[in-house]
Amino acid sequence: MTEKSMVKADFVTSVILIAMGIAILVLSIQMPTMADRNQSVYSAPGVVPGFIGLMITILSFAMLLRSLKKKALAEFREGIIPKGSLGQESTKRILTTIVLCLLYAFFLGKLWFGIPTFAFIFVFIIIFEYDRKKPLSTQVKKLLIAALIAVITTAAVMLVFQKLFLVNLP
Amino acid sequence: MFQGLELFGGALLSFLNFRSLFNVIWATELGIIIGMLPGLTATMGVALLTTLTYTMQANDAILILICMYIGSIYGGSRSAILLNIPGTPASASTTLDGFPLAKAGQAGRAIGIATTGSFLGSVIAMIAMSIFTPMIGNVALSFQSFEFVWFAIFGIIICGNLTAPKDPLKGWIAGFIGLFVAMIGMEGIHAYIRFSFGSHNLSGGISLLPAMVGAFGFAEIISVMRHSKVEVVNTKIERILPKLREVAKYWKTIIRSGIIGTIIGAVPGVGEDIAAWVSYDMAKRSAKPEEREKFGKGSIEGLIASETGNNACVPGAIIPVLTLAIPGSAPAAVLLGAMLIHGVRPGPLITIESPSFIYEVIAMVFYATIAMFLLGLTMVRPMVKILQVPRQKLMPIVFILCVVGAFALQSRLFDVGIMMFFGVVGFILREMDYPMAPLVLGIILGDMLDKNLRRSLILSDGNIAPFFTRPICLALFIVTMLVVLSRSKWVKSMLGKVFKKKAAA
Repeated sequence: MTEKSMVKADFVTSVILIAMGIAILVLSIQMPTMADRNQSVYSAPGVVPGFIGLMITILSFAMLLRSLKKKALAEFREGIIPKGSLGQESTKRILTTIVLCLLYAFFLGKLWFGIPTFAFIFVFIIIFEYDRKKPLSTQVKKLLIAALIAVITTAAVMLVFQKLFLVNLP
Repeated sequence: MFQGLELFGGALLSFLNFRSLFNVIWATELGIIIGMLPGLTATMGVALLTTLTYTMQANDAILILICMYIGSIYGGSRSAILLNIPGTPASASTTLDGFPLAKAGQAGRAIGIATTGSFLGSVIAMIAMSIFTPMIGNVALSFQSFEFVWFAIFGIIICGNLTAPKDPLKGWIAGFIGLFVAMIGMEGIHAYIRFSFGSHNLSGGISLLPAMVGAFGFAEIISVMRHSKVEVVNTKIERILPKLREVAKYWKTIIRSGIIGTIIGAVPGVGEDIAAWVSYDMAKRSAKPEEREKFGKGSIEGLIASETGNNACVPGAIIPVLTLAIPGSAPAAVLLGAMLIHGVRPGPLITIESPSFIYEVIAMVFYATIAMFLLGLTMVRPMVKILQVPRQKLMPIVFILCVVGAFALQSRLFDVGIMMFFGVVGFILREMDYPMAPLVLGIILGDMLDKNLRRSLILSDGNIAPFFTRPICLALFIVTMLVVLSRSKWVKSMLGKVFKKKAAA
């Protein structure tokens, strides 16, 4: 991350964190004190989260002041997201990875473990390896290897985890 | 003293059976492989094996985890030397001298030196561990709630300070976020449910292991997949066994790095990466001018310093786990979690309740260290093949392991969700320079802070004076304040002015 976008990111996160800190503080104050149960006020469940909320607010406020000193607001004139970062190859790869993993997690528990697992590994390898510019016929080997890895991994995971380590699978 | 030796001897003998030795070998070798694969860290390795071994007996499981821990911290040096990418963050400083040596065609020599350095570091720290663990344990017996409150705060502050050297503010924020995460769910004194917002799953709290697998596993996968290719150095690996003379020449560096590694390991949450950097830096400063020139260009002394430092950190990090139930590093945090799962209760009382356990853990470290040394010097060539597996083939498999690992412990899909959440948020936070170690330390120390702060306030009836008048509390308070103040700009500029005036006068 460049220094300019870091200043912007610090500004945004500090605002979010201050809101979070204050919310934690308010929720902690609203918790019962347990005094009606003849318990010491100091044993109230809200004492420690309240302290943590306060600390998060103070520290984030320090970060907010620092980012304002570095002229964070002026940086926003050039747009919130740095130009060109969305089209970058690395951003695409990061987003693809996250989306594939989310999809896999979504299907877990809904289908028998083997199906999403096989599909996930196969699709993951193909998406990152398949070259759309080349004809399909030259890339059959890639497809076969991906399918083979997916089958072997799925079988091995199920065997090792269920039979050897006696662990439940999703 | 002699009782200690007797207990240690007994513990050594208790692991001398086929099953234990077999476990030592496979777990250490798996550790080396996990450590050397970029994207698989020691923390994740220990976390995954924790979920896999929880049906085993406590001693077997903890032995396997310690072997994994030691193996993976060492294994990171392999890819640092051959790929110029640290396999785990602990080997970041190893790349500086290891990779230039490999490029100069001395990969085998570098691997041999790194292995020996790691071995010696582990041995030095193991000796320190056997001397200091019982001592600290006895002192810790006198600690009360007031001290533990300071330990929790001190841990967060110093960990945040050291793991985010550029911007300690972010380290501290990460630490307090971790403490907050620990507040979610049912609390320990009145069984009141906090911050669950009506969710049945959240009322059980956020489990440490899925969160860690996310923050150290899934986040790492995303960050590895960002780049497309890596090149393995194409070099012949010839002699691996180092010459004794070559290592003995640097005995001072080895002992210094061993001690630095152990001490940094014992500091809460500050792990192997920092240990390696500090011992590398110290070695560079105290090296002879002609040797200092070589640092960063393939210095044997630099390589030894960082590898001795990071492996010495491992037993060092286990010392506070056993005596105070405070982890010295992120993998040690998982180890602490694993001990709790298996019904072992580390903490001050362990010296009374099960004194033999301390020596059993030392014996486990002993076997793991020996196995790491032997496996490190053999089977080098086949291991290089594993490094050549492309990441897009490896990472989906690693992700499946993350999912199964997060799920296995409690068989809840909710935990898979927690893993995903901490992975994505962890990745974003890391991109913004927030360190993960204080966050994890916060999750562990949250419960300790919660119970002890309230208990001590009840004891003193709301009077906060004991937090500053009890000797150990006062010491911890002063150190914490020094850490915070040393990083604030206006204190620095004020001190600068004072010294300038003095100099001018």
